[in-house]
Amino acid sequence: MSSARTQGLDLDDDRPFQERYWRWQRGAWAVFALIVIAALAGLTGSGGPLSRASASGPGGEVEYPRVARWDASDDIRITLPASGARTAHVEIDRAFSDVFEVEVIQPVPAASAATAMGLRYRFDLGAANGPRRIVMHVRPLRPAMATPLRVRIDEAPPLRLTPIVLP
Amino acid sequence: MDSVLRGAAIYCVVLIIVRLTGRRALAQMTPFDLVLLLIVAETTQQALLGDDFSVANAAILIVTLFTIDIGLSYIKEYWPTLEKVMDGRPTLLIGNGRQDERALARARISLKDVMMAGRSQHGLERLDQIKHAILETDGNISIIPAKSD
Repeated sequence: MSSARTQGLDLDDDRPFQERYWRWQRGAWAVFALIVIAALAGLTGSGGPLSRASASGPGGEVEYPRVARWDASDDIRITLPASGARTAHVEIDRAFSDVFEVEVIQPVPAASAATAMGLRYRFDLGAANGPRRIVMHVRPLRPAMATPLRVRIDEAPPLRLTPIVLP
Repeated sequence: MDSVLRGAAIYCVVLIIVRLTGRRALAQMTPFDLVLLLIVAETTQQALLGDDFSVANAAILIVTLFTIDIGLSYIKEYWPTLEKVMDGRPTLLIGNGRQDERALARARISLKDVMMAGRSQHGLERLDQIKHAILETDGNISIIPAKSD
């Protein structure tokens, strides 16, 4: 390894440092590639095979973004099993309202009320012999690291959602 | 507060990515690099501003970015290690006419790039007219020609 100074050059080089930097640089390129692969897989939100998660119980199923992005719209889909019920209640806890701002709900709830848990929506359901779906368009209000949020459908035990919100 | 944090975060992210990508990406201006620069500028602009297009936000961001820049230049002055890590050190690519193959390969610089610098800086015609070639911290290649006999 020849130093620049030994070759008569007044150059402030540092070859051992440069070698270390090149090693770090190659490591960083591998990390860049992993980030791209993770993004394609959906682990950074906004689409991809792994971007959605779901929680289900006797009351129904809630499909939500596993990874969401701060300030970027996303949706939470609630599927109610086939039944003769003409109304359904969906209750969200305060942690949910802290992380997500609910922008639009389809169908529009017939009523909403503040409860001890948080917020309770009542939906009128039409006669149907198949599952019914409620879509909540939400926008993350702040970054979150898998903060547990609870959603309760009718009188079933609350379902636990753990979305990650990237900054 | 958001504007300052956003500005600082984007500054750090862009700095780290550009530093780890390598110096050449900065100095070379091939059409591809121009496209890259335009896209990066457009992408960071959105993350910087969010949905706040007010003059106040723009002013705070600009002041934040300049303040970080000035602050870092002072810190670098008193803390040489940080300067070395952030700006790097020049690398000798050709010393006394001897090519350092490893340095050339690791820095992703071909002899064509070195000859291009030789032609543009000194009007050199052949590789053996180059005494020293140095990759500077700003990504440019400096050429010191061999004395003509």
